[in-house]
Amino acid sequence: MRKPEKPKFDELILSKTRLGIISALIGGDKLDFTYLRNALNLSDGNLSVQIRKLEESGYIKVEKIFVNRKPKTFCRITSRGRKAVVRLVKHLEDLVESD
Amino acid sequence: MKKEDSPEGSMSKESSFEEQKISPDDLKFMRSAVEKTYKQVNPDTHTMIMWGLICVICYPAIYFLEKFQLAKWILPFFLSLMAFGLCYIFITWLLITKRDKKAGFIPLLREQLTWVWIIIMVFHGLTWSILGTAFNNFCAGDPGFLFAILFSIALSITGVFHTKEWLWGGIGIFVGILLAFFIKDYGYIILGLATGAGLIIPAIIVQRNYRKWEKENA
Repeated sequence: MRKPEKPKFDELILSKTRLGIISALIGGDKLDFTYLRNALNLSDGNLSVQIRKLEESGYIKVEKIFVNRKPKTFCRITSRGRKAVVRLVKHLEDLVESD
Repeated sequence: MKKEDSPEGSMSKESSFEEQKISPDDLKFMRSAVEKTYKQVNPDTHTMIMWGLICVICYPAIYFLEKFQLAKWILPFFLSLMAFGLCYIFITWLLITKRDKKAGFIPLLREQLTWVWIIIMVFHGLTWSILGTAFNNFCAGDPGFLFAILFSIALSITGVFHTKEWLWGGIGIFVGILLAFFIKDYGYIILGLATGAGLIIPAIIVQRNYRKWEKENA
């Protein structure tokens, strides 16, 4: 009998930091850069690189909002990002079942 | 797990699980991300208490103004209370939005519930009140009952999204509407008490629960 195929994983979301960002945003709330940086204990450079990658892939939406005349970068998960997380969980479930 | 900033990390590339190797540390990191960014939304129930007080004052006042043949004062009285309530809501909304932006956390729940209340109270409430007045109550509607029903619906929806206390408030108002319908003579007094209690009691309980949660998680 043919062994069931191992599920393929989306590399973009499987990265630790990016999955951390997506996990933080999954509730649908808008979180700003500083809030995410403090919550995830990341450096500014690393966080901005990961945010850019997630934004380019359409998993999160980034918007600049002015608060007291200072710009703040807010991130929010998109429906595509949410679907990617659902897909990842489904793949993990398939993997557990196939074992 | 693969290195974070590797140039090969191309968009939506797929790979098998063996290449990735998730470690328990990674899972812990994800869990801490969710826990650290989980935040109870401050219910800011003072707006509900304010509207509850407005209802407690407004409905019986209309009843007594009608009873003592001072009906000409009903509309100015009603409009001034409404204007005060709307100004209070608008200023509070501005301050809360600014506070959220400053904190770097804009909750989705608040946005959704704001829209629920705008659609129900502003679009439906004001539209039907204005149409009813303009066309001489063409639908034989009573704005007093209409607003009580709208408060009941909006509170019930809030209860489904937020906490069950609001749902009980909505049900309480609905029971009050039924009572007022059958005891027409004191209908407005019953409506005032039911709507006021339906808004104020859940608001106090929800705010108290939030403060308790905040203390426990300080």
